[in-house]
Amino acid sequence: MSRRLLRLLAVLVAVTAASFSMVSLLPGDTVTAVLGERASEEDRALAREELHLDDPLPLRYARWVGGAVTGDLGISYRTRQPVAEALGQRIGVTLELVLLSQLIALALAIPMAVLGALRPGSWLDRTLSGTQLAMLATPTFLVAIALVAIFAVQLGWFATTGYVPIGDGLFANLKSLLLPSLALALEQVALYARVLRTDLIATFDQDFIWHARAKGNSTARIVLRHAMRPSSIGLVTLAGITFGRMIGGTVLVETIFALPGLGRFTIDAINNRDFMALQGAVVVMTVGFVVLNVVADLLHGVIDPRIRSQRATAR
Amino acid sequence: MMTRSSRQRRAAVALALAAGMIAASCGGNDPDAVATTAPAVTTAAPDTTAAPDPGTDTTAVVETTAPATTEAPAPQPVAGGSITVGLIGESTGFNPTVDAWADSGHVVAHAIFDSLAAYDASGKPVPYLAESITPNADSTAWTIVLRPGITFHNGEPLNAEAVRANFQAILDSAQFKDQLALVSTMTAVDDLTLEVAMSAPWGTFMNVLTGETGAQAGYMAAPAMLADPNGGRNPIGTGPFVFQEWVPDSQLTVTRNDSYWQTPAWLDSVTFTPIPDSTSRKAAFDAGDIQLYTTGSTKDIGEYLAQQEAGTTNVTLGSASSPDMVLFNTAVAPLDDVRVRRALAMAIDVNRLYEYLEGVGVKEAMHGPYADDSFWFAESNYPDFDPEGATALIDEYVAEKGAVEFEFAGNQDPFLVSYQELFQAMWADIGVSANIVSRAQSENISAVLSGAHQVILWGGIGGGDPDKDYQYFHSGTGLNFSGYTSPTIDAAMEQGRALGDPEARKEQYAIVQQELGEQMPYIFTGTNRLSAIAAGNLLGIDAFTLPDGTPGQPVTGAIYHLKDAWLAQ
Repeated sequence: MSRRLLRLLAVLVAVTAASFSMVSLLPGDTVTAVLGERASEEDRALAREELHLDDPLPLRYARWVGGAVTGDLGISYRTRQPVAEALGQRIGVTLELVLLSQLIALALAIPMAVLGALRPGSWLDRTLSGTQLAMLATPTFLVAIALVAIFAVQLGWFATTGYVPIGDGLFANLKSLLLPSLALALEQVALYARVLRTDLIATFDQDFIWHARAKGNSTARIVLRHAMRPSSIGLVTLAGITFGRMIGGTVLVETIFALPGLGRFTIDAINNRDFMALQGAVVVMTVGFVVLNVVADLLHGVIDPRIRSQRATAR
Repeated sequence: MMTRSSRQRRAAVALALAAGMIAASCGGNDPDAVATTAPAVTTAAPDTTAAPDPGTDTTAVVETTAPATTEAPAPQPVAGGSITVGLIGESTGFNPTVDAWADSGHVVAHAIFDSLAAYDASGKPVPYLAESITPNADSTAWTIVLRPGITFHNGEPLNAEAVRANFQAILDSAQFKDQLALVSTMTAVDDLTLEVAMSAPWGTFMNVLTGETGAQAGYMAAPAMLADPNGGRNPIGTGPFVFQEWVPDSQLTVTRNDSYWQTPAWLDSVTFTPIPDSTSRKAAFDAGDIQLYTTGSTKDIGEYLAQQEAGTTNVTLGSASSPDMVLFNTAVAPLDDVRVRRALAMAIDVNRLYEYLEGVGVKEAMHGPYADDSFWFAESNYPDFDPEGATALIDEYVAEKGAVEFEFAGNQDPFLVSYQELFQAMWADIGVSANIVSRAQSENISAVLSGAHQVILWGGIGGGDPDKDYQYFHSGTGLNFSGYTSPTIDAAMEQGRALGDPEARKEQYAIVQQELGEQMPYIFTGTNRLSAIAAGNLLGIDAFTLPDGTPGQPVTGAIYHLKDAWLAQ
């Protein structure tokens, strides 16, 4: 675990340092974003001094790290809101969105994968594969716009935009997130189903499955009891990576559905050269990504005892 | 049935929207404008959109679009009900002396704050929160007399000291102090009277007190709010609604101010929700999730005007805002030659542009920075569409100096890139080679600020009171992006600013327009009128009433008032 923590720290330093340098290379000017283009040269110089924008990059980064280790992520240049507070207002929305989308993706992908793997090459398998390919090929924003047009505008079952906090009722909260989650989930459904199907087909060819069949176990029992666990390692790895990646990758859906999440916050920060806000967002995304991958790693051992024993032997 | 071209156009819009998300999500800029009408707005500074146009007959516009009510008596407003308003973008905060607002911010601000002055229906600034605002003979001193008995939402009185505190906060702000640049001293004569001395004659001082874009100095915030570092998160004004709660990027809620100094608002509460994506904003309105929003999309405006006939929608066309335009850098070849600039203008068939923008019947041709029906419009030698004449001018230039080739910049929105390709094709027809360059909005602004541009889709110039163009036309501001300067224009802009009489000012601005029409540092390609789209039962958006009961200007750019809005039962 301590090795993992060290790895997390190393990744955090590398990513935040890289993002600090990359943002400084972007065209445009922080002071223009803060003061507008009509500010005088004197005021611009004063602002640059106040924001330490003329300090060497390593010094600015070191100053930021000094604050970050005490939980102070600084103040947004643009909104003057503490970055930690702003992130706190948004991270819950994004996490809930991503979690719900993953649950939907898994709920749809697992049955599709099992049905396809049981009869590889059958018409059902081919139909499911074609459907998955279509899901994969359709851009998320088009899915989002179509979902809004059908389920919100035409049928009126959901609100077109907006987020209802969980404190205003769980049902209303889930209802406000269902369409955006579905829009995010469809692409993942295809990926998850294809990975799991491939692993299941390989597992079905293993001796212990033939043994279970010979004992007269039902197909359902064979799938659920014997085949699913060893076939899930690829899926869990992919889901861990996807979950982590999506924490910072929901901007399109958040924009279309007007959700106050981390994605919109990050894009606003980039567009306005708001280093402090951007750095805070990068930290949250990096920690989220690394932690979720560690969780996926740990789950491998839970799913497959052989991995646990290999790790024990290695120690 | 959707035609093939219509489908293609919709697909293009969808693609443009996807590509435009990033710009849209930053708030404040209107993706509608990006997609269809005002490329300008996307690249212009946020504080440069139009001030109201004194010459625009807004009342007439509203009458032409209002539901037919000739037979039935006018419905009487009733109190009660709540609405949700879809905004184009989120604001950084709601302190008028700190946060630079795009139109969305002003919509919220008009609910919470009042401004010292406001525009009447003819577009003339008149006292609003103030009882009177009067200049001395040469406009070097102004006296602001406040109405008695007005208090802020926290109980503080609106008095001369409060106005001085607001002005001082503006003067202390690096980004706003130029709004009151000529103010030299402020003296509270008594509790309700503030005398403001100017360092030079300033006939248009009242314009900056109207609380519009570029005129935030007019909003009056409670002194306690100004002193609070978090005041922008808890705004306190004298306005018709009282701030309740703000969750950034999600919603801001206000409730009726029952102690309002005028007739209290009719609506119980209003929730403002930023929906940066224009497709989503329209979908939210069509689904009934929001009851009011603004759009610059000529296609959508046309659609809703048709629905208005059935009484399901109310459309209020706004006054003309900054037109669509192309900006030349006259300091670099070949744009330093007036023949080239004139030829490029003469090559443009604006009807082809309007067809592409689906703005036929909504957009109008321009012959200068101010619309033909504007009070400020003056005839000039601005050229008409004349491809043969343009070709002759280019041939003459080519024979002398060689081929005409330049960079034509715009943003990365595919819809706009195709829009640029129309220009490119028309310029190619006269023998000119325009190389389209697509860059992020911030890069375009940086390029223009540093003079690294050649030809670019631009905006924020023209459309309103010409004094707001002082910074762009005068030589000494650092913001004359075209690089075209002349002592004649400088003198006329200075006179226009110093004079108080509109007719005398108009004469000065005619001089400016005649020189611009001759020298062509810009091509103005079409009018922009943003519209407030309201649900069929939401009335009163077209009726912003001034304290004396006369009509004010209801919609300016994408800014409107909710004081007189009400829900029909």
